Amino acid sequence: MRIRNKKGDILVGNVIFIVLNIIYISILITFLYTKASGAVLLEEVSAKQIALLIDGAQPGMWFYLNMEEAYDAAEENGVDFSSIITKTGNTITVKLDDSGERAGYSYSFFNGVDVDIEDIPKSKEYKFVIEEKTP
Amino acid sequence: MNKRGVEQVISVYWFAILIIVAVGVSAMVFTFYSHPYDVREVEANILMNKIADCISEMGTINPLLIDSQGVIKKDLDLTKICGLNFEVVGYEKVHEQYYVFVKFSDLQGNELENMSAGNNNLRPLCLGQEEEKDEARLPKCSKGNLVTTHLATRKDYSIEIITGVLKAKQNVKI
Repeated sequence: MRIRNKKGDILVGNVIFIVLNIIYISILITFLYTKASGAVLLEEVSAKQIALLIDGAQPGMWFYLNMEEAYDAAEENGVDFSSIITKTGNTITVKLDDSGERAGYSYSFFNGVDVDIEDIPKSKEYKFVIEEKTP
Repeated sequence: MNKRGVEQVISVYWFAILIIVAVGVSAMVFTFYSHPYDVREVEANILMNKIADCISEMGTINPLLIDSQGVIKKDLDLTKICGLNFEVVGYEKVHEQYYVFVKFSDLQGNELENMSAGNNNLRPLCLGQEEEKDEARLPKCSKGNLVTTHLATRKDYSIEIITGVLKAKQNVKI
């Protein structure tokens, strides 16, 4: 009886040890994933990406930008897809989180063009049409 | 120390190691993600290409820059001619975050004319970067050359373009 109890103790100890290790690794992976795909980071990346695409474009061009990741993040944070990207003057603002009256992330482009932004929720894309600046 | 005692000591050390690793990973992740993405080099390159496209189209010099005798015009506003807008959110107009310098020479290397736009204070910072290229707070600069022709006079011009982008607040952790 004594020997069997002892063996049982060892097994329970090992199981607890393994479970704790799995919990630890899970927390670490979740932390890394949350950090790497956070709304704040996505806002910055998207705003800069869009500004650079506009800088490199010429009037008459248009491009589609897949915003699937941003769409999911915005949906999670209660932001409407149509209001993720806004343009004020020559500044692009991306907002994926409405909490705490956040203004989102803004980045300016130097290309003196007019940009028409159209959201396509069905394909989680945005269409950017580059037009000649109207005086 | 009996076997159980040894196991307990080992597991204490094991969890101490796990905590140290967790703290290390967190510190690295926070350090990495707290730095903004630095896109200024790409931006300076795009600006340089845009200036080049504006000055020379299909190998021919932009007629707005030159008179019928093949003389480069003086005091031109590059931002207007090339359709640029140097206003940047979060900065005052006096602290422009862009710089463009264009030098026109003949093919023998004699300077004919030069023009600039944006913040001229960035020029020495751009030129001095050959030794200190990794200094993040300096503007990121791009330099390029091209040769273009004036069809009416059949003159060739060598053009040097330097562009700089500062925008440190949005691209560097200060």
